[in-house]
Amino acid sequence: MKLDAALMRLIAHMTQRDRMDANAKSAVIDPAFRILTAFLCVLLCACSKNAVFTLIIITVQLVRLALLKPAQIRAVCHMVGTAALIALFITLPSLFYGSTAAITTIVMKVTEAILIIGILNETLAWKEITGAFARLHVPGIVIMTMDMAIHFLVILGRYCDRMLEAVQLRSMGEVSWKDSQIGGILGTTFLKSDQMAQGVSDALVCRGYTGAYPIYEQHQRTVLDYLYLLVLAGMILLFIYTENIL
Amino acid sequence: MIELKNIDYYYDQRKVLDDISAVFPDGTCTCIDGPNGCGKSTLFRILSGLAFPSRGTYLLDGIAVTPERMKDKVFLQTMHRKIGYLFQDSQTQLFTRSVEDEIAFGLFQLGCSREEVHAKTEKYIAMMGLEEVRKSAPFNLSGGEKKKTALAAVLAMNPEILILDEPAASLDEDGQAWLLNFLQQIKAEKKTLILATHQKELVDAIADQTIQMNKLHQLVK
Repeated sequence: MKLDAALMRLIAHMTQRDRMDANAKSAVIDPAFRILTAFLCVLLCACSKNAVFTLIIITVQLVRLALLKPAQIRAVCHMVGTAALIALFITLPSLFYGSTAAITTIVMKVTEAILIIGILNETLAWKEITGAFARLHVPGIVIMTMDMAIHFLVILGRYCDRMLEAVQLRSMGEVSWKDSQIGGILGTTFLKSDQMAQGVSDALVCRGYTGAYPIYEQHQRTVLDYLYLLVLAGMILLFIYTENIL
Repeated sequence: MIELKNIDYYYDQRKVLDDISAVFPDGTCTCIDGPNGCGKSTLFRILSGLAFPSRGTYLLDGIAVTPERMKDKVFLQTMHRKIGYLFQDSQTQLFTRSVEDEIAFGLFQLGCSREEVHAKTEKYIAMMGLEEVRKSAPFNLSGGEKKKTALAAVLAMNPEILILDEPAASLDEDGQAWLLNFLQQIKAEKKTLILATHQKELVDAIADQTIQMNKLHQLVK
């Protein structure tokens, strides 16, 4: 049950911006460029052999974090703090072998990666992320699967929630409904998901599905987007400089 | 024109349709009524090519619709372009990221250009009054908005035959009045309408012919 609740919280969080800002202006910078930058950031930090590059990236990301809304900052900090603590816990034994550098390096890199992903998650809506994947030439079937997975997880989650409420309303006395009804709820949800899968398959056939999954609204690139590309180039140059590659 | 000749349909060895014969002439509105579970939705699945009769013949413009013929991609595309099907439960019919993507999806599948898709999507968003929720994810819409979105997605493909499975379900009073007015407009465009409904007012207002089914999954003569 705890896992169920955690999963629902995660999905609710992922789709929160889709719900709240349904008609809000779309992202200023092309989400595809932002995802590319985030990926490169994580990759370069993982490859860097000294701490300077990672520390600079963390500093820049912390400044970006400070510009977000308090709720967003709290969400990112929670995510980063948890990940950093887990990383610290896992690498703690290396302390006994006298390898303190390993601890700091790994914790730092984990912090940096989660910080970047967290900020990206807080500042981009789910549909902007999948839309960006389309621009990055990720196959349509992959994007459609991601979109549908989120869509139906939300629907089935709500369905589960309604069933739980129904069971709760009918549960009286000392019988532990938690133990006796969970199997029934999960089983019914599974059957419901099967029905929905059949429904979607029918809907796809009816609308002449040919394998294509185009995105209706695409981000119109502006000068800002191309300026943002300079950030990408600058980051690569910084990496080369700090790693003394040349 | 659609013609059904002595259709039987079995689901898990249970007879769901029993000797159904009917004709749906072009440009007419046929309302099908009957108790829950009498086989209306199964009949609609057959009409839209999603299921095939266990016995009997389904003729679409004189051509028998069979599983073998449906393997022909050209026929399949032509059929789905010709027939639009609104499911009873709109929730499963909607699967994309937003209302506008939902309407555009079928148009992209038909091979329309981006400009054409844009123009038609805007037209149907305005026609259905979905401007406020155009960027919303379909799972966040109300029952009526879901129904309108699904209807817009079907209509955008400009089908000649429209099959609507209980279109008034989950609509409030205003929504039902809107639907009645809307269906009258569609009928005026000389499209063939086939709908399942329990609403007598709707039947009286638009039906050219009514078909009654019974609990034995047969047509009432």
